[in-house]
Amino acid sequence: MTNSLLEVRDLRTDFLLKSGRLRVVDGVSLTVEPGQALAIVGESGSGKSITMRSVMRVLPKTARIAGGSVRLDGRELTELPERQMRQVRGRQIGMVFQNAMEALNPTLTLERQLTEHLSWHGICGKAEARRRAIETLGDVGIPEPEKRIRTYPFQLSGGMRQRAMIAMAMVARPSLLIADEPTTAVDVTVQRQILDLLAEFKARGTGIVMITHDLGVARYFCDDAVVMYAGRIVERAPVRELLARPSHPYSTGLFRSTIEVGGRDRALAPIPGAPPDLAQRPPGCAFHPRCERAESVCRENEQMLLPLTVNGVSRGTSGRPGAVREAACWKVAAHG
Amino acid sequence: MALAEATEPTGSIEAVKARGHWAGAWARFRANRLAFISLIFCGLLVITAIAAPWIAPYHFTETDPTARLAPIGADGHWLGTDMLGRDLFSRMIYGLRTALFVAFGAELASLVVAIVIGLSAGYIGGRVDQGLMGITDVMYAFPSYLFAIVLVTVMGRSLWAVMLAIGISSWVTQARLVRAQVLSVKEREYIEAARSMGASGTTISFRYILPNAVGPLLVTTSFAIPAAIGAEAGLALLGLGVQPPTPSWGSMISEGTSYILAAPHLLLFPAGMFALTLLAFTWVGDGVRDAFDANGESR
Repeated sequence: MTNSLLEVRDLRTDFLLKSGRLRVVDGVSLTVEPGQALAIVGESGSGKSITMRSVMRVLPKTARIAGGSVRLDGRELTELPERQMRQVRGRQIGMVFQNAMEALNPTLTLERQLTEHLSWHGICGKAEARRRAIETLGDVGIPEPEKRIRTYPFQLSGGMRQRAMIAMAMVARPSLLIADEPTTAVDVTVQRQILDLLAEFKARGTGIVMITHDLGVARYFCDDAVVMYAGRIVERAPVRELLARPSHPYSTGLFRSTIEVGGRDRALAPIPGAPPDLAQRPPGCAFHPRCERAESVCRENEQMLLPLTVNGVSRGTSGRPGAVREAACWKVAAHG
Repeated sequence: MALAEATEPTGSIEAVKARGHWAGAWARFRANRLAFISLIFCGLLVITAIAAPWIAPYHFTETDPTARLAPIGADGHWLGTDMLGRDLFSRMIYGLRTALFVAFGAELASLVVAIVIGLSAGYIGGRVDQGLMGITDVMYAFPSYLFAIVLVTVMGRSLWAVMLAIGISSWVTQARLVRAQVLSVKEREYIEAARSMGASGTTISFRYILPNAVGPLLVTTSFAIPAAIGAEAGLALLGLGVQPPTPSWGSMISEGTSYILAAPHLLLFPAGMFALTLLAFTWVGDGVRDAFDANGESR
């Protein structure tokens, strides 16, 4: 596992508030291999976005990485000076945002936005940058890219804009792409196209981290998934297995509260309650107040990620090297 | 978002011709007839002011002893002359030059100061923000005419002193506006996107924040210009304007009041032109404001 593209170990991120430190990412570990996609699933406020922003070190001013390690191609990022970190962003790690209208600068043409960072990073000259930008716009399926490149973001349709943003993230050919809910703000018809596009980059060897709360999106092209709750990973599994048999009660709840086309025979069962206020983190397992299987032990003992026992695990896990199944719940770890 | 979608050109690529961020505002401005005519008028005023030495028939100090207080239509002085026999038309043109020079100079200077201070305060934040805004608040609390009087007394009644006196009272509100804009633009997702592309702080402030923050600044500036023209005349009226014999509409109006019965044109023409100029610049300001309002800043 020494050649992982991205290796995050025990990452912790705090928000510095007047009332003290608030831990929003608490001991997250994850691994992404080249050409593989990892889904980070969880509700809003579960810390999934902050985890990936910690990796890129583009956190809000009040946030600090409190510990842990982030290695990209074996290079430690958490201790890199800001100047060198800037060279990593956009060049080695690309980021796709939820809403392209918001994430593209309305005062710059696509050409400017797609080529500027190439010259910041000293990757190539202006003419070459323009050629690459046009090529990438073509790659993401924008027709007549040499014409479109002169337009402003607001002159494009929603789907085109999303493609343009992916082009912006991919024009420097980063080895890792972080996609933060890339399909949440677009029409369902566009959703599929965007996912196909990302799948294509994945097939070319780009490692992808997909932040999503949509399990369907995760299933469409991710290999592995981690489920986050209250800043911690509560379950880790290959996506198909997670969807086939979620084991952590939270994953189960998340799955049951998802609307699926054609899933009329399955009753919707939203998880009762709301995610906890991290300032008043419930003792023991943070999910216990909302968990229907909670017992007194859950209130007392913190839950660690534990490998699921072999007899309860489906055959799929052994199919791929490096695939792990873990859950942070003593009940499922014991019974599978 | 939904609105933007609906009004978007969905047709051929030709319809989506590269059009600047400002093009829409310009189109709306042009559709506003009053504003557009005012702009043309203001343009003519600016040209007249620049070309004053070539347009004015006489120099503003040139006296004609044979024709003092000459009436309108007098031989060689079609708008008449003042009590010293100086050509009124020429003096009004030079007065326009003074007014516009002071107004544009003061607003340009205050704009530069406001952008530097507002951008630093908003972008850097923390102590820098507190310090800069503290200074700004002190300046804001200071009565601007009092400041102008002190400044003109100390520096003398030069063009530069008047310009500085007006500029100093005007940068304060502008700087606050810039800061407020920067604070709101800073939170936009494209700033984060730029950061995640590896942009440096300087790139972000000048390429990403500033262009998105200046829209409202253009509006306030277009209103600040007529205000500065008025302030220049006001200072001159109080005897704090530029040193005579350099003409200023304010001092001409003040002199004209002494001859209101003998030679009413000495008051009426400068006052009329002053009012017209102020009105035209204000209408341009209105047009600019409306043009940007319709821009859907709420994108």
